[in-house]
Amino acid sequence: MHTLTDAFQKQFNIAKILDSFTGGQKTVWIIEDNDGKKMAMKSFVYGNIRDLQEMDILKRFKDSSGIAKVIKIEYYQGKPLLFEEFVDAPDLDNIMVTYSNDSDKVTTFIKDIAEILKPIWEAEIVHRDLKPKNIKILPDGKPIILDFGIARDLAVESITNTGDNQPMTWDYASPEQYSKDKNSISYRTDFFCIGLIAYRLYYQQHPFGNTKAEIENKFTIGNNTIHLTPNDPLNNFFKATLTIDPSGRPRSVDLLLSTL
Amino acid sequence: MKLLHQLGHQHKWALDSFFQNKVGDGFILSAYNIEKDKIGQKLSGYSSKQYLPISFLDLQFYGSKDSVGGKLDTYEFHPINHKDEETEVGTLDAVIAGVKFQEELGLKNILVPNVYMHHEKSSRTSRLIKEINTRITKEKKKDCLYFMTIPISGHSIRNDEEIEKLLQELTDMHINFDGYYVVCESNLEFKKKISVDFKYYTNLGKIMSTLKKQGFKTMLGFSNVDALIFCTMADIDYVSIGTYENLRKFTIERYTEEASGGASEGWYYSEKLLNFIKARQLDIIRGRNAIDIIKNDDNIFSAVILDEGYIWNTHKPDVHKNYLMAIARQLQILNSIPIGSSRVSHLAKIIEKAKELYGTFEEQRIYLDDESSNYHLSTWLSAIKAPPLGVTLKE
Repeated sequence: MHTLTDAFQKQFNIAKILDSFTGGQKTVWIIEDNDGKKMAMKSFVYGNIRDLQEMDILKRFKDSSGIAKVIKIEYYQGKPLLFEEFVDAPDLDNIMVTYSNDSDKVTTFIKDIAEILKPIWEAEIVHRDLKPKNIKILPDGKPIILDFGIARDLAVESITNTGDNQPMTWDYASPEQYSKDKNSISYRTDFFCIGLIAYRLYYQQHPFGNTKAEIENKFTIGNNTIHLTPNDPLNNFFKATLTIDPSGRPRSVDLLLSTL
Repeated sequence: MKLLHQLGHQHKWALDSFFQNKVGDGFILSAYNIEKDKIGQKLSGYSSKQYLPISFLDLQFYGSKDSVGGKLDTYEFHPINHKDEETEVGTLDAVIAGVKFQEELGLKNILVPNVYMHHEKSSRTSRLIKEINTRITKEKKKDCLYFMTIPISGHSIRNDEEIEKLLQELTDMHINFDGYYVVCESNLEFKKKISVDFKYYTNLGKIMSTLKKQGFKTMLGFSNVDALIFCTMADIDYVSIGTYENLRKFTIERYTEEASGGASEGWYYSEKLLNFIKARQLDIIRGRNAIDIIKNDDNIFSAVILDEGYIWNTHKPDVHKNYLMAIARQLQILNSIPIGSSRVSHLAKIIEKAKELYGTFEEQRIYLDDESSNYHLSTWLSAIKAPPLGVTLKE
């Protein structure tokens, strides 16, 4: 576990450190303050543009019930510290098997995720890292989306160039992320990822392969063949979202949901 | 699907074909051929009340400031009249003026004009489309539909990545056009009237089917007989039919260079051969008593021009009305079949029959060469039998 000095804990009113982990470009501590309130404290290693973008997105959409709320932003040695509500619920990653072959449950999940992200997409922001580890499921089944760490505001100049390695998680990445085509990254990238998550929840396997190399090969040669159970209620949704060409995926959230 | 006559030189023939012979469903008026003050007046004896409600107007901004020829300069807002250096603002203003002109004419289907841009300027094309979209979104009339014109170069249509990028932009969630009017260069080879460019077929087919799938109305302009292929690959709302070759083939040179058509005896379009036969080569067919094999059914113009005494000339209306009637019939039959594998099977059978017919001709020592030969049929078969777009099921 990453340690925090006594002075640091005193400065930021931290009574207990419950857990910590490092992912991407930040370290996250689950803490309890002196009032007994649990929070997630994110320390941005570099305090750079991407970190500022994440904070900006969380502030802009603070009223969304599907995104972890920002409690406060502090600074330590010039670097930002983001204090977020701690969502005491399991990661979707840990309960995926409960969705297996349950079309109603998967459909509800898809609709809930789309509803949360709709205003964000319409504001030309793309999450880019949707995956079960970044989604918590509350007791009533509602999802909370975490980690806008590699979200991209399309209205702002890109941090990476086309051809550079695009940030991604290989088993939940879209074809355009694999091909490093930044100009094709859009809300339809997230549509593909939602399709991937839903497929894996439903069929308990990846539609395009089991290894990064296998998946990348299929994307590169345009092999868009996947297994679907005949006459299944989710088939139209999977056909719509798991299309390799972004232009073939639904152009709006309404069209996306109409496939369900 | 509706068929629209792409008007141009001798537009009376197209108007007669519609009003007298019930061929087609409407018109695409041409700014190149019809001066501004004539739009909304009597046209070849037909009142504006007759033709305007079923017409679109293609203002043909394609050559932009470098446009040459025709009646384009009678439209004062046309970029051909711009004296200064071309700017994006200037082009945008011209586009909006063109839209307003159509609205004031009372047209309910507006073709938003656009300039042809070479592939090196693709970022400028993107910006212009976004700007036009922003303006149209603010100013569109509730009772009008707005079709954005998309001119595509022969170079671009061969570039898969460029076409995919274009489609992403045209189908973005912020786009508010109601539809698209697509015109595309077809990369014709020497001594060929029908394209054998496989990429042209697959990429243009992808454009039309993707736009339709995404909820836009689709219009294919300057269509040639290969409209049969595109109507098999996609469910297109409006397809143009045209008489002269320059109305069945979009090229930017038409708008940037002065050129006139040459003399020609003309061509016989045969539904059965799926091709245009040079008038001279009909003598070979007639000599082998094979005219009946290629004649078009239920086509009064075909009967007239296949008469042995007919004096052929490409500037005679019957020659072109034969094509209009024949292609309209073929497209309407095709359209009556559900889109998908049934339509593919239907057209594949027709193409196979045409190939057999050419084979039969050779057995009878009838050799049709150059443009009249069957050079295009295999490409057509390959195009319609290409794997479908998007997700396919694992067997």
